[in-house]
Amino acid sequence: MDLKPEYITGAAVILAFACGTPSTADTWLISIDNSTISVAEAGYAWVDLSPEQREYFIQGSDHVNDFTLSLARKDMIIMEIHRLDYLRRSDIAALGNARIRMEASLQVRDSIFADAERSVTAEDIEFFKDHMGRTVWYTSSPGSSFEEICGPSHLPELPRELAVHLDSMNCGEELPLSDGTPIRFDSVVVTDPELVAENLEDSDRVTDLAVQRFSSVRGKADLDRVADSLLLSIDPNVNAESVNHLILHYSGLEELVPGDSVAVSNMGIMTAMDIVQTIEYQSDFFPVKPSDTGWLEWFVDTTLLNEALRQYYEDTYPEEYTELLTERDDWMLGIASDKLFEDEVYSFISVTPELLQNEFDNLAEIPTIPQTRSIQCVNVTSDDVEAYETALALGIGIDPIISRCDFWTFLSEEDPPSNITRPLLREEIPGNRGDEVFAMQPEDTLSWSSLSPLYESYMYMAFRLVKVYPPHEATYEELETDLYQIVMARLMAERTGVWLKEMGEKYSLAVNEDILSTLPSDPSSWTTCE
Amino acid sequence: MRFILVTLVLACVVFASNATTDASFNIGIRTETGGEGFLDELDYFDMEALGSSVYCVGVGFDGTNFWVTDAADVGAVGPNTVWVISGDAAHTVVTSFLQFETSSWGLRDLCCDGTYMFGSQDNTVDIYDIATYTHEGYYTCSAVSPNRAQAWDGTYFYTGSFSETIYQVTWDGVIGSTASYTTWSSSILNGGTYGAAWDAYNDCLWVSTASGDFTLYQLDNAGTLITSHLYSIETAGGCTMGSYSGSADEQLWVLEQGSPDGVRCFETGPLALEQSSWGGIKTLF
Repeated sequence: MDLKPEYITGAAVILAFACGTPSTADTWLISIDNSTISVAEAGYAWVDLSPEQREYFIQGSDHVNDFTLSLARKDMIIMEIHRLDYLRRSDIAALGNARIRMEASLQVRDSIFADAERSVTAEDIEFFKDHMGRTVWYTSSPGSSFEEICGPSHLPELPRELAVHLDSMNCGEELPLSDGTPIRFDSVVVTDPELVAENLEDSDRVTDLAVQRFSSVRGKADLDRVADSLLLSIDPNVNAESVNHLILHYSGLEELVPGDSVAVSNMGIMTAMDIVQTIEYQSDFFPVKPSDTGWLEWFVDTTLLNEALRQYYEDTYPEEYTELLTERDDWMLGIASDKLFEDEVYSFISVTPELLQNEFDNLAEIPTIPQTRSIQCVNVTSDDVEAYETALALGIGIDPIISRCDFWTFLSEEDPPSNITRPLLREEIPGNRGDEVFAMQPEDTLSWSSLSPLYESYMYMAFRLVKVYPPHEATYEELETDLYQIVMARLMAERTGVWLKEMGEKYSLAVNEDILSTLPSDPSSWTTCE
Repeated sequence: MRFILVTLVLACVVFASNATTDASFNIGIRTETGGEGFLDELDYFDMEALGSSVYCVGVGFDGTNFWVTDAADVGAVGPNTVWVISGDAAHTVVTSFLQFETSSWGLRDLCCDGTYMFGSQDNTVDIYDIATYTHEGYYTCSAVSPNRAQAWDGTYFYTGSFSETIYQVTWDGVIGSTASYTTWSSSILNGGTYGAAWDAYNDCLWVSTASGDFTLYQLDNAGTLITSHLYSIETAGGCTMGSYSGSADEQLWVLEQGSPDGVRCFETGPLALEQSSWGGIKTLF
């Protein structure tokens, strides 16, 4: 007997049972403003999620419902973003520009280093092996205003013409390169030839080393060359006064002038707003310090270079650049949704002192703050250890030593920081000395402690007690920050609900709950429901 | 068929489970006017929980796994060890092996050139094969002793030790040879140089310090101080660039000489799109 037809029928029945009716995949699941999302389309949206995104829903109590509703609302919010033309808002557009600038410049860098690796030939590797172990010092354009003292450099890793040139010279000799640049060969260190020969016996290792070294050195040189050429062609001029205005802005001393011209080049004007938004973009993944002159000048220069590299990528790789733009546009929707959320939720919320006081008054139980202690801490260098311990043992002469020590100020809560810490819990006392500090008599505020090493034998710490704060019922002031978080979270949830309800009505958002209740729990299978 | 208009009730159901707990109080954009960005911590693993002693000092990344140096000998609690910890989110112990002929604090910071891991306890830099964990030899560098901080930029090594000076080291690749060096920077203001990591993405050198002042230094590609940053590590050991599970790009990992010793990951490169706020809806963007 052939069992195959029964098997297929059985499987079909199971599939139909699992997926509701045979036409389930094409049935609408979500309806928004006269358009619909089918069960299958929702299934594909699930499949396209990253594992982390899927996990977010799976760990909830009702992931099918949560996912469906979130998908519906996401589409609704995208419609609202387009309706309000958020993508053209100057701040959002500037963020988009910052992103494409960074992504394109990274692509250029990657391409250059990949090309450099591909450029390494068998002849290069032989040259490396032949000259391995020779480290040189040389001077370019000696005696001129362009003089540059170079080295130590591993000879085979230098540009080939220069390497061959130096290899043909004697120390102290000066000869021009083919472009006329005079080179003086200053000195050389040659590794023991027997040692080199021993290393060369492991041919694979040396080959890998050569490829890696050539890739790196050529990649850097090519990148520098491209960057120099691009910067020369765009001829950027940074307006130091505008940079200074920005620093003052970030220091809280001046209002931002968004249209202030920070840099002018052949690519156009880079305004203060452009820089501010680029900093904002980068602050998501990089520590920024815009009130620091050194940091901001470095950042402006880097931004100009990245803009030049972006232009280069657009001109050189137009198709790939278009792909980057598509990715950037998706990203901007996310940014725009955040801005929309700020405008529609945050701007409606006001956490007043009255609300916080009311929250405090209605706490079921006032928490207890455990005992805390403030201390003074100093770093004692290894040079002072003996004198310190002697002074401690004799009970005299410790103050002159303390006076040349650095106090720890970063645990102060004062502005500017003092050399007394804020009240610290036992576990917050530095150097694992919480038990010691908490064992001290409260009135013993003059004695300096013994030393304990901070690390290795380089630096030691010592402390003395300043004040004991006994355990007590928390005051309103001590809980204010926590209360703020609680009230803020509640108000946000309430306002978000109201906003989404209003949006749902505006866009006639509907979910086909009848079909939703019949769908399998794995949305991946929604794509194939027949 | 029943058509359900989405109501406030449903909204509250979803937000009760998602948004109220996941909503960030600072939506995605972290820089406020007048504010400074802080190094965001992405990940952490506790070395002592993984079996190390309390004397971990350095960290390197071999492209897949982290290597952590453990100076158990200094506390007479065991031999000096290198712990190999998986680079994935689980951070489990892959293996551990004894440091080659080290004593006291042994190897400090580590760096990797793609083939070997480098670390030092004196004026030589030991070389370990990252595939076999075997000691392949050393090169000599008399810039400092030990060559405590270790970084590599593809061409040069960088080292320094408890001072403001960072040296650039030229090694010819010959195992057993003597490297040449120059003073590259004198910008580490707290003089507590312990670790270094070359950040190719940002074209800069990060320098971690053990001066107990929560400060990390950032030098440009010429050794000039860009700035210093405050972060959550009071006393650092070594540092390295290494991959983070949320990103293809490398982030900064710093060994914390703390209680317990551990390795913290700080965001210094772009991550995948951030899904930081307002629950399920943002998760889909």
